[in-house]
Amino acid sequence: MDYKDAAHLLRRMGFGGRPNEIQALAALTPEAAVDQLLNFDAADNGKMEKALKALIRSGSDIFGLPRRWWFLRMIMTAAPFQEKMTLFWHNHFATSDAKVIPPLVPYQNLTLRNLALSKFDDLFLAILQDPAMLFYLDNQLNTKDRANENLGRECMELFSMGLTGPGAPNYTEDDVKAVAKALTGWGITIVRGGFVFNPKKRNTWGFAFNAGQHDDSSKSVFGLPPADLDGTDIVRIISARPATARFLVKKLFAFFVFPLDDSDPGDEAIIEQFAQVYMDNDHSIKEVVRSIFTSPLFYSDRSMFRLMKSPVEYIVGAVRILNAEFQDIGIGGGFSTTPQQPQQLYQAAAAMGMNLLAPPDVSGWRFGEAWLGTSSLLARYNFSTALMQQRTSDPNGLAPFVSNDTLKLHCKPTAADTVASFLTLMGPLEVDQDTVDRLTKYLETGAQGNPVNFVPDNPTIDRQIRGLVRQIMCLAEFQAN
Amino acid sequence: MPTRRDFIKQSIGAVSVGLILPKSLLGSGRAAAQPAGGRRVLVVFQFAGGNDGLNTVIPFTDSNYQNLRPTLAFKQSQLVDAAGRSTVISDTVGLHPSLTKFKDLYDQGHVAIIREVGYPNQNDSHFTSMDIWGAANPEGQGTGKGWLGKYADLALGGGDGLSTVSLTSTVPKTLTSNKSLVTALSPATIADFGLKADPVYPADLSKDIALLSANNSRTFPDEPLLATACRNGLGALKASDSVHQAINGYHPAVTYPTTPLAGALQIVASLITAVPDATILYVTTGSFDTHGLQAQQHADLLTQFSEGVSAFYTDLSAHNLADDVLMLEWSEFGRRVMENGTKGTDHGGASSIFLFGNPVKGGIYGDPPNLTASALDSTGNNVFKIDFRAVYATVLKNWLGADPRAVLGADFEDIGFLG
Repeated sequence: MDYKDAAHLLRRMGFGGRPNEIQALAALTPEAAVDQLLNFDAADNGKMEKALKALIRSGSDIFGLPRRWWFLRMIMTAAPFQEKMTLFWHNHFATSDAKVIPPLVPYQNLTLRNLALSKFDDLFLAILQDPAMLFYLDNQLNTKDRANENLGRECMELFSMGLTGPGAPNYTEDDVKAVAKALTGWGITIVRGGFVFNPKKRNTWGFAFNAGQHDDSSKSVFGLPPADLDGTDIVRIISARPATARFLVKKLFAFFVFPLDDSDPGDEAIIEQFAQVYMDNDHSIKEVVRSIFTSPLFYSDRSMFRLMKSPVEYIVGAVRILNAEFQDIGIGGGFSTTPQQPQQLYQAAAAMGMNLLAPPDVSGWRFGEAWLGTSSLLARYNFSTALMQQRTSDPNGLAPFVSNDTLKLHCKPTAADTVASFLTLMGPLEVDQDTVDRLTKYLETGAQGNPVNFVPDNPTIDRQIRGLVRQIMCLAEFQAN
Repeated sequence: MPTRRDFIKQSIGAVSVGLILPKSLLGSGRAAAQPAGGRRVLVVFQFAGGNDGLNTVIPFTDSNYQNLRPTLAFKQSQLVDAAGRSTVISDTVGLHPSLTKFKDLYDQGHVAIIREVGYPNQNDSHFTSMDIWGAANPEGQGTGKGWLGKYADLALGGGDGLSTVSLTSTVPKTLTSNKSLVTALSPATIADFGLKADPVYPADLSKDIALLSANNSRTFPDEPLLATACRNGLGALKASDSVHQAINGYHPAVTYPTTPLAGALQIVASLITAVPDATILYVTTGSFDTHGLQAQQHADLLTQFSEGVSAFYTDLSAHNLADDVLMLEWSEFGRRVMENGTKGTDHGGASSIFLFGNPVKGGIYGDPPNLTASALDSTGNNVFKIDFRAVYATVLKNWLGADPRAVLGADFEDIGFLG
């Protein structure tokens, strides 16, 4: 496959990469490249695991530490698709530690990662029996005498089928009530055991079935014969619904390829095509995503650069592409957008509108245009400055930095070739000639507007090249994914 | 105080003679679109999550309300605030005791309560219903741009990017527009609302801003997302100076509470004061999704609202702006009449909403909720009597001076709480 397609694949299945990583993928067939990214259990992540352990030993901030832990994973991992799928599922089964007691949401994150490519039924059940979701949607309050519909409703609206299929609702209000009843008695309890973010702790939370609170009366869902259904039955029934296959395809496409409109006949055919993959492969998420990433649709004009980078993709992508260095122990600490206001990577993402582990509500984040608000864009612009202003290892903190030597690797003898080199590095981005000319002129102009001779020496790299990278990170084209 | 049922009926009868501005007056800048004589600002409060209207505007004499809510219903004797002052406003209606400061506004005639507001075939999903209210489009399930975004497209000029501002990190559905710049100004990061320089070369900032502005002046007619990135990026650069001037130069006349909502309202006050173009401002608060253990959560949220609004109103009055500002509160639906088993309430139907500020004619509009079993829908929710689009139409016509049909696509009755 060509370099441009390989870069696209790595951006979508991961967070983008350095030229050597892209070239390695480009040497493979498209199927083999997808296969390599999909089979991430084979990746050697020893270096990352060591850094993660050091990070956990270093800190105790119950809100900050899990976020730093996840950012470090996304930046260091040799298995980027594992993190990307975890991000997809975090948005799909959105749960926020703004409501849920710590550390249940980071705990749930482990489940999302472990089952990221499982049979959908297994992940769905694991999440419904995971304390974070039971707490988030009040199911510990859902009892035989009075059902609480919160979890039951979202099980269908957001986690599996969606409100409507072609022309008709996928479920009724009576179904909401029946599913809520089936989930009565599913609650949480304290169990013994340590916890990855706090190994010294002896107790954590786990799933509890409170038989006395379970409504074992006969319930009917979707017009099926009445039975004493519980949550496991509901997962089995819902996971096998064609509406679930369709809904998951639509969400996967919107996240990884392009948004589909089921009122459009062409898109409707796409939905059916990939929903059939789900039905034919025993609800295997791995096979559905394999079919998506090996489809010509994935490389079509409608797909290439037509999504917007989420804040996490923007930040992690820039750090990875620019080969930023950092101390093994982790990311964060002294990283700052202003000297007065130290900011860690996860806080920079929050300023752009994506506070990881705290989605705005159970439907997750709004993607696409929603990332492009004025506040969010300024936060992106200022992140580019923050990343570029750090030139060496920060002795007081752990900020990622890009050295002049690293930047020098991409410089060419002329300003025009240097601009082209960096546009290739950071995409490759296709940018109109007027903009290329403006970027070139930027390298050939001093602060007072005076013309200067471009020579890629250390002072120029330290000033103009850092400015060039900032400007490319601010381009509309670099917001696209 | 008597309700305004009779008045409502009269108003509905008068729909057809409502003032409709010719389209030629729209789209040519704010001065032309807005009525002469005074400025017309609208501040929108979104109660996210589905506010319990029945425990906000409380029908305490209704036996169905009392019977269906054994732990959550307020009895008349409970409608008193911490200082022992009653929050009862009529023989049958009381405000939640946490709204005690808001009741002061009501007593001064500055609060219009619109009861049983909703729309046909209500959607019980938070997200779809929010979109429906935002786009004013129940038939299309909330697809399309926002009603105030469409208004901005028709009537508000570019200015310095601060005619339409949301105090949130992303633009809410209500304000999504086709071409107008809508500024999302997250209160949490407002100090960073401006381009920062590389501290090693601070002199390069103007060069950076010039290049960034030039690159963001591109239009991308065939690529709407890139076009939005440029438009908003350029708008952000233009707006950032004005925002900081507004905030830094502002002297509030009151001490605002320390809640996020009050913090956002103080920024709104500074923008209204310092930016003559500021017209549509939007704040959000919540979560009102009180499925369990509702009483404390709901009381806390209403306290934040009541105290925040009270400070904001006092501040506006001190700056001689109270006559210029209309406020609208909405939520995507109410909550079920019958409480659930967890001292909370599930997603409901019609709800009460507030219009407030000096421009409104205070009082209660619309019929009281009918909570008898036969009147509820099959889910057990009370049924709407006033379409929320009639509220919007009244605001558009009588406050913003716009043709409601141009924004909403149809005519709706004037509910009569304005002019």
